[in-house]
Amino acid sequence: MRKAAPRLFGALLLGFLIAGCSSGAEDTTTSTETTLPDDTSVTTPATTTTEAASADASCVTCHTDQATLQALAIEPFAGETLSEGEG
Amino acid sequence: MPPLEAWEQVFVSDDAFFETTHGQLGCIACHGGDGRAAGMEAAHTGLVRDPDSIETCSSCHNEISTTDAMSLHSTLDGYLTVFAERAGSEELSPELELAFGNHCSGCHTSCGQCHVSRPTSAGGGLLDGHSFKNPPPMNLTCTGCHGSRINDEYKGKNVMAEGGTYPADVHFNPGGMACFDCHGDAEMHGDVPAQDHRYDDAAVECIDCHPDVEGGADDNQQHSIHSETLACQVCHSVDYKNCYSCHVQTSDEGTPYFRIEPSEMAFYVGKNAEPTEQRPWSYVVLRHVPVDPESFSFYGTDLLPEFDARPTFAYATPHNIQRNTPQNASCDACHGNESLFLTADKVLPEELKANQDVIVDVLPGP
Repeated sequence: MRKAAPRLFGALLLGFLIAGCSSGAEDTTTSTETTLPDDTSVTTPATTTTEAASADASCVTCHTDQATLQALAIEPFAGETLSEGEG
Repeated sequence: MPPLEAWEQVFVSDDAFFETTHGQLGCIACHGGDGRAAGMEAAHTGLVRDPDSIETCSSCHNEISTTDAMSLHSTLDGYLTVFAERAGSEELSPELELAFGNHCSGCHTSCGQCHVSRPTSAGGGLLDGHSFKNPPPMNLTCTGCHGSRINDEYKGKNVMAEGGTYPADVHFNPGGMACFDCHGDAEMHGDVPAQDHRYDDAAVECIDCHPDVEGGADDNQQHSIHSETLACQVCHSVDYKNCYSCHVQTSDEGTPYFRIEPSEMAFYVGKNAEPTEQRPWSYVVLRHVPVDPESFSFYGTDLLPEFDARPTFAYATPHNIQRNTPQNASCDACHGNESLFLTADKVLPEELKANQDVIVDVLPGP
């Protein structure tokens, strides 16, 4: 019984990660900071702490997990390498 | 400054952030997106990487966000002023506007691009988890953008032709001063009179910290003689980078890039083309800026019809100040020393007209 609890927790966590962070192999459009849409229609900070914590759970789960980010991130095309000389 | 890997750029490594005031707001309040969505793509729908200063930061930091929106870091008016003069029109042509968008507008910064992340133009990425840094770390933010000239001058990284490096600015070594020790909050956040160019009513002057130099009140004979006619850098700066012939274009895939000739380490004393109350001197230090009549020719022909409206040897304030320099070693080290002065023979023939107001025709006598 004492061993079952960690296993159950692990299974839940794994399921959560898969649901929140799963990205099809074909998805290359939004996996890095530099390729995300730059939408300026942003909401103002008006949520309560509880609401924020709940709504942000997926964000925090992925963005605090180095292994997940390393698995999902795709290096952007290094266009600057075309440049020659000091910028 | 080595770039961060993609994952590293967005890794919130500091758990303590979530206990801070900013952390308590939650991710979505500033960045948008959908935290309840299943899957990364859906969760990132509508996400804002770099929240707008006015729409987001001003909710709590109203005054500073409002003035910052008028700072040169936000408006890029310094670039636009120079563009407009050389283009001969306040309004940029569609071709120049496209070029500006592709190659220049990325140098814009925002609240977050100094206080939370590296500037996008310096590769981006969180500075230290999601911690808000005040002041920002100069090595990752200020010199991330102002690197090839200011950083290398200030830290003594410029290489001499004969070997070795030029000395660091005394304010850095031994002074240990960071950028914001001179360039303070008001200047960084636009809380100064409106500026069209970074030298308009510059927020910092040497005499702010060295008031006794003015008029030789410090009993230094050289200051008594020269402080009203020579900019401080004429006597206290050494060789600095000069850049030539930058050309911009895009690849077949539309990726913007530039090509520029290797920089030249040199020191040029020239005439002050635009004396002001703040800069009344007859002689100043000049740096060749990378513009060329054909810099934007990829985008169209004759896009800078008034190229000669501004000198290509521009007023400069190199950040490599020394108490003792070759030119202040003695009177004759400067007077009559042609090698120090911008004379016509040192200017490209096609740039003579642009520089006619700064070229020194008659050297100060021995």
